[in-house]
Amino acid sequence: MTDLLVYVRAFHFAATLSVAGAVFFSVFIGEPAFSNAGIGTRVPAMVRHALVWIAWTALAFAVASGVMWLVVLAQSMSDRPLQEVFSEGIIWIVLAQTGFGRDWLARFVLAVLLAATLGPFFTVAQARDLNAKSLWVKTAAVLLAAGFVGTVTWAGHAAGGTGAEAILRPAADFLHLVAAAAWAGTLLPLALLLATVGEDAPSIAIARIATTRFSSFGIGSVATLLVTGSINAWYLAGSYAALTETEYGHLLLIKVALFVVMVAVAAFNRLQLTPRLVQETSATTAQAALSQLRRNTAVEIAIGAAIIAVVSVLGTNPPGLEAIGHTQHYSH
Amino acid sequence: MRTLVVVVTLFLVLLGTAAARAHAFLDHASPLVGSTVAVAPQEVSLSFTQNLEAAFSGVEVSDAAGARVDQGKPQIGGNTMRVTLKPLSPGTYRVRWHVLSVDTHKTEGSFVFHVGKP
Repeated sequence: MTDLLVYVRAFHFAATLSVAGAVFFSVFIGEPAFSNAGIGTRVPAMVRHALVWIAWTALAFAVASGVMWLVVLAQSMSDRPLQEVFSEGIIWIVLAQTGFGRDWLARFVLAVLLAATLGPFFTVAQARDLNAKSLWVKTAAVLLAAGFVGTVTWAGHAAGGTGAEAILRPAADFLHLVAAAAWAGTLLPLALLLATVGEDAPSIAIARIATTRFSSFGIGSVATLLVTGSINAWYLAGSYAALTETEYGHLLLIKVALFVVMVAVAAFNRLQLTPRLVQETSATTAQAALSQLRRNTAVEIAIGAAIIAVVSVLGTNPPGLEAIGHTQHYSH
Repeated sequence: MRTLVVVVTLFLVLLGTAAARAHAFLDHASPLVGSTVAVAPQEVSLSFTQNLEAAFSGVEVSDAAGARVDQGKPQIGGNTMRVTLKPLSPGTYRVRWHVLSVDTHKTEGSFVFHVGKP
């Protein structure tokens, strides 16, 4: 059941990051690019269509994997066969009487609210004039998406601290997940946008604005990930022994290594390729930069997926400091 | 295409890594683990390293013959669990506990204590 839980976690992380990423991308990167340069090219229509598809599919998968997570946990908590989880009402006990169950109910409510908002959101997202209603809908969608992805932390190791730690760690975890969605979650829409860009001037213009905005968005996300990640690492594995002698520590080091590589690729995109795309007047240089950006974005997506894989295993391990401190025999 | 295959394989390999789990460990108990007490205790009290989920935690105390000597439902709150005992005669008693931490991980264990002369 542990292996199944790892796969369910990975699925849920990827789906949740994707639906939040689609919303963030639309508001902060896509629509600003389209409103400034969207005439005479099919790129806006194609990207908007892709975003709708991504958001709804990802949300559906997030809910389905969330339910599966609950079922898998209910089975392992109670040590009963899977069919008894439903026939003996164990799943309702978990939902009503455990912290995890109540948190998961709250997240389900968030998912329903987000679903209710997505339809109106994608309708008003394209509106050129900013009126009160479209502002409300966009704000609601962004907040609900951030809430839905940030509260994945409720299934993690942040709970159970005392004093300042009781506030700092959940807050750091929440921001960590939102930043991850802002970066890794917006990569796929960016890749799709770049794929639809051709050699005509209007679509190049869109690519220029989108990559520049994505860059700035990415810097904020990376900084947040660094700070919040350090806070988490300190509390969970903040000793040399914890990092080097526990499986948790090893996985954490792998995650950090992958993160560094991802930042290096992003830095190259920002410092080398994006300027070439934006500033060069030569069409050949712009196209070459664009082509490389497409490749690098795909590489970043792959690294992001690897990080999700590591995190899916990481959370099922005892945190490094705990694994070091306890040598008692445990059952399973 | 090849890069994609490598990456997907790496992804699946990382996912498949075997994983252990976090636990609420027994921090201390009363009567003390393995101890001998002169007067029969009226309850067994267990403290753990993490907060517990009452719905999936429990404890049993039995005498040397295997008969249960605890009575009533265990009282569980925060990171402690306690259960009242029937009047105990001198002898060896075994405490078997199983808990679910709020982190959703299960632990179980047992220990003995003695009443009167060991």
